[in-house]
Amino acid sequence: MLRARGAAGALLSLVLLTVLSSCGGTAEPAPSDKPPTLAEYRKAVEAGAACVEDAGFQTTEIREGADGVTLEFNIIASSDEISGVATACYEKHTLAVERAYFWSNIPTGAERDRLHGKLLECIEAAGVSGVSRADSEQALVKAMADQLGDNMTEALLCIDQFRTVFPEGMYPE
Amino acid sequence: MHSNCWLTVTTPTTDGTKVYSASTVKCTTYMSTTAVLVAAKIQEQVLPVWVGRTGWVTNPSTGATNLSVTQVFNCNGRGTDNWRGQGEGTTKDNGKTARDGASRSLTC
Repeated sequence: MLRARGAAGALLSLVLLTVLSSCGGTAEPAPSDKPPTLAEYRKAVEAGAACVEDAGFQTTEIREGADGVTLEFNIIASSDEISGVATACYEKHTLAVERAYFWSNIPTGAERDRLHGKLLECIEAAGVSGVSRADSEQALVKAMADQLGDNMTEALLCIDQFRTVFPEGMYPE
Repeated sequence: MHSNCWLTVTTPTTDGTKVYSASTVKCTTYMSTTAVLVAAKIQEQVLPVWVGRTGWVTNPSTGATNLSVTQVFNCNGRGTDNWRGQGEGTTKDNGKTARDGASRSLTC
């Protein structure tokens, strides 16, 4: 391992860092109060996919996720093969931008009310009764588990489809 | 996995005592290649790494256009942690696809 010492070492480290940063291809923007645009977010997802491909795996096209906000792609491989690579690429190229983009697209006011109503309709259509706007996400999930037991997948997909209604805890730092 | 099929992994959610995450493979109905296996797993973050808290739960099929499975982990008493789901799907042509779901902090 190269060990840099003293002022010369510090300068060498700075030069190496600069070179590595310029070659790294990361799509993460500099910290800013302005949220990323969809184009900037897509670029970060594309960089994550390119990173996975550089590691030797094939990826699918990028699609809009079920929530209508995030973007996603599949990796053509088994989970055992890609576990470390997928996480490393996602955390390096995509996570920070995705977090900022997601949180800048949380609906408020009438739009949130509309989506909340759609979420409850979806859950009811999945076979859960007695849910209301007063229910927290935990209460909704408890109703699903109590009423549907092992057959709650369809109702869980509702939570995912409308996850901007209850976004708490998403993409923790 | 065949290109007419798509794997989805839900963001974890909780009822306060259990964490749930589902994996789904959806295939275009007019194509002949269909899903024969879907699998789901739950991981907890023990900074900086993700650690599996469950094994894989699987749902096999002879061929389905929509195949799902839910994994559950009893998190009662663990407090607040970061969680994510993992999914894997296999189609009739024996192709596999995998992905990690988005991470989420949940309190049990």
